Amino acid sequence: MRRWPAAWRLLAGLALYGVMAGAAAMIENAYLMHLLILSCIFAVLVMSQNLVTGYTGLLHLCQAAFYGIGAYASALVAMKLHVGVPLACLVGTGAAAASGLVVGLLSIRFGGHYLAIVTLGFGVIVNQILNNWVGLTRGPMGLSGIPAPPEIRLVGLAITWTPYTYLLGGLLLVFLTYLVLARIRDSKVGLMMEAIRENELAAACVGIRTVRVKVVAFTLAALLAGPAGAMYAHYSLMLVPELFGFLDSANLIAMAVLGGLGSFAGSIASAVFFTVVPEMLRVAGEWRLVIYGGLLLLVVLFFPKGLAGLGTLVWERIAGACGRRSSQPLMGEGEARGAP
Amino acid sequence: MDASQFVVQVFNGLVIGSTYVLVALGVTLIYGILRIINFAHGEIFMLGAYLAYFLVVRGHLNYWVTAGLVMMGCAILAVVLERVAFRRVRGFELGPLITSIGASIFLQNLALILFGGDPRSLPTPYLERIVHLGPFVFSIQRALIIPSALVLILGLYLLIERTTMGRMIRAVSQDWEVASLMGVNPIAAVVVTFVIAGALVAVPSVLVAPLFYVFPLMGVTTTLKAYTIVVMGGFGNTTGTIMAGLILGVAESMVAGLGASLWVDAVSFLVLIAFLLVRPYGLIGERREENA
Amino acid sequence: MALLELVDLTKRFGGIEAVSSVSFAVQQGTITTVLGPNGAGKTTLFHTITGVLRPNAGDVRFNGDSITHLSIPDIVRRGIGRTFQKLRLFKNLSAEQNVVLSGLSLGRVSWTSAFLGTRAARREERESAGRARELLELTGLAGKGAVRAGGLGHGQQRLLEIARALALRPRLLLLDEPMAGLNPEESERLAALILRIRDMGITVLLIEHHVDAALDISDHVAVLEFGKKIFDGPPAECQVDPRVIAAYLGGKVGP
Repeated sequence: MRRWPAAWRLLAGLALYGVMAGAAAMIENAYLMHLLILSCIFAVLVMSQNLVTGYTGLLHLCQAAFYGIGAYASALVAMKLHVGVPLACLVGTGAAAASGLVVGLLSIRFGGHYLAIVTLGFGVIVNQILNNWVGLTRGPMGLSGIPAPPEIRLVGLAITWTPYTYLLGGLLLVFLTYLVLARIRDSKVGLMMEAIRENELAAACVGIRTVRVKVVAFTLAALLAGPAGAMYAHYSLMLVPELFGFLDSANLIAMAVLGGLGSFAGSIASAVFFTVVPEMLRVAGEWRLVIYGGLLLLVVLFFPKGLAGLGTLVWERIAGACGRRSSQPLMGEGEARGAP
Repeated sequence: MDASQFVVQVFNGLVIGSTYVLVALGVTLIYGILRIINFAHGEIFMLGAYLAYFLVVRGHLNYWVTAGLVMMGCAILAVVLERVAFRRVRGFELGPLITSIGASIFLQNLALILFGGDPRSLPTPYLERIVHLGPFVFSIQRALIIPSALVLILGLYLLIERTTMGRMIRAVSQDWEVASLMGVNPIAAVVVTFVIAGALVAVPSVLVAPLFYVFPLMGVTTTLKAYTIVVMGGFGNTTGTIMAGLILGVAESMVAGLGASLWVDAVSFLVLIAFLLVRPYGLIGERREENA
Repeated sequence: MALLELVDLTKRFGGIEAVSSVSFAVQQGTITTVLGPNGAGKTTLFHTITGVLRPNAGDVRFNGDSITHLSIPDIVRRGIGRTFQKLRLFKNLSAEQNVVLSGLSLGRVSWTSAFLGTRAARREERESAGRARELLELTGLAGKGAVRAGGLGHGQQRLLEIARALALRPRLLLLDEPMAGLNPEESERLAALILRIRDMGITVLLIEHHVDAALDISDHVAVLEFGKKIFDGPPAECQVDPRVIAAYLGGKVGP
């Protein structure tokens, strides 16, 4: 699909959006719709985690903290400064991006392990602030009464915010995020990120400014977490600090790995799968995490391409079964960077 | 805070610091030999504490016998962890980091399921006993920690510097390939390192856990601190780790003593950030350069 | 003026001087080989020249300017490219992508333009891809552009690293044991390639263990032992120099 000209791809994307919007309109189960909205938010978070971990090869452990900053900043600005929700969301995004930039500038040049630990610590500090600065965030009791977005006026129609509208908004967010990330991936910036992941020293020795690229990837991931957080805030209308802790960051890493590091489509699939399925199967919290932990181990050890790898395998089998010769063999000499 | 309170806080700080040091030493040793951070280290600590709980409370075993058994148990657990989570993924740089996170999540939640989230208290014969030293009053349970830590650190030093096994570990830590070429079995060195790391972390499980509660997430904050200390002390640098651990312990204790106990955890990370700005290679570390 | 000048270059690790007050010059348009037994400090020397390591003392001058304070990417932009003793390819990228990266990273197009896919960005991509294909042909890897780099044979991987370095349009090319692991036929072809590179106007500085092959194509030789330079002169003299012979055949063959 990447080889089609840009205009075609855009049309295909719009068509896909239309199809999904139509399918979503047929959903009657309110709970399922709620889960899908959450899946959209998580899809954005997992994709941005993937940009840093899967494409650039850095492990950062505070994506949930950026998510929380985006959420709380947007909520608080809307509530205390009485600005409209759209502007508040922008502020939330800015706050998340700014924190990403600061943390990135401070710690990225010292290498992967430093980044892991500093981001771990940053996540803890953010969580502590959210919990302890009760005056601002109402601490563990949670922030409630967050304003919902205003009615949208489009061509004379007034669109109110129903769960369906939220879902459409979520899908739009996912599409836009995918668009941005795919552009990066297909440009030289993405290639440079992958080079850094493959062999950082060699990347520097072919002229890549490795620190700069890493900081950009990291800041971008933080920036993308902002709107996800803002959306969550203005959807659920309530925030508690315990949604934005280390385990939540670890959760995002798990979903990125399970979806296939290096595949944004895999990240989306993983986010949806792991948000909807455990709920529908009524798996309790601890069991879900036990399974995650176990899956994480198994996937890294035995099946590092994750869901995306599974998807590629299935695709190749289908292509083979339809008589079309698969373009490259699966193992050994083969198409590099194949994941969509 | 008057003088006697100050002394008590310093003492408490050394106690906490010793705990952190024992946990952090394991992380540093593993980093030194495998160049990876073991995110599941705190879970060994946690499971050690639970083992101690069951042996003492349900098994009615003697405290010191329990201590020995827990050391063995933690060592075994560490070795199993290495085999499952680290052995096969050395090639892929992010792999061991992710598998150790996976193992950490797995063990934390397994404990939650098996033991429930309710904190349990681990009684020991020394909890209630105190000792008077001049104008100061110290709890024996806490007091036990400092000499134990000293003994262990001394033992570790002797092991690493004076024994063949220690030399093997040092060789493999410096250069895996060269050491293998010279006839050292690197996997054996790794396994021994994990045994040591497990045994070291067992001591806080047994001695420190009784001071607080035993619950499935108890490993989490402790390991967060351990990582801070590893960074402060310089990755792979045991002396730096010891110094950093004690400094952090005392700093936290002072903060708590000044009444800001809610922010204690944040202190260690602010210290971490300060270090990154000023002395990123740790208290003693040298600039580590690329191993091309 | 020599293209590359090392002046009293020293690099210490702990108490050991891996490179000890080494001075020599590399003239433009020549092939210079650095020889020495294992552990003589040759690769450390390369690392110090290319910015991977900072020297403890001494200077590296490229085109008259000191470069020891520059970052690795900046040194690359001055015109120095290199390969590695232990291959460092981007294994999961295709061969063509490995080579194309050099052109793209040095390219003038800004990241924002690349992101937006402007005409200039697309042109840069096309040109880099074209140049990459030319270099793959030059190094004997024509047609292998789409193959995953990690899947190539060892000899081909070595050639790919050279192609990747050539894509930087370097004035000076540093090759660290390019013939390692190659059979005699492959070594011969590589030697021919190195001569062709010199004829393209690129100065070559070479570390090699295959002494005979290297001496055949070199204009100049420097020999290191225990971090010190013990010979600096033409290849013919090198083969008969007593210190060199002692270093290679004498009791000590490197630590």
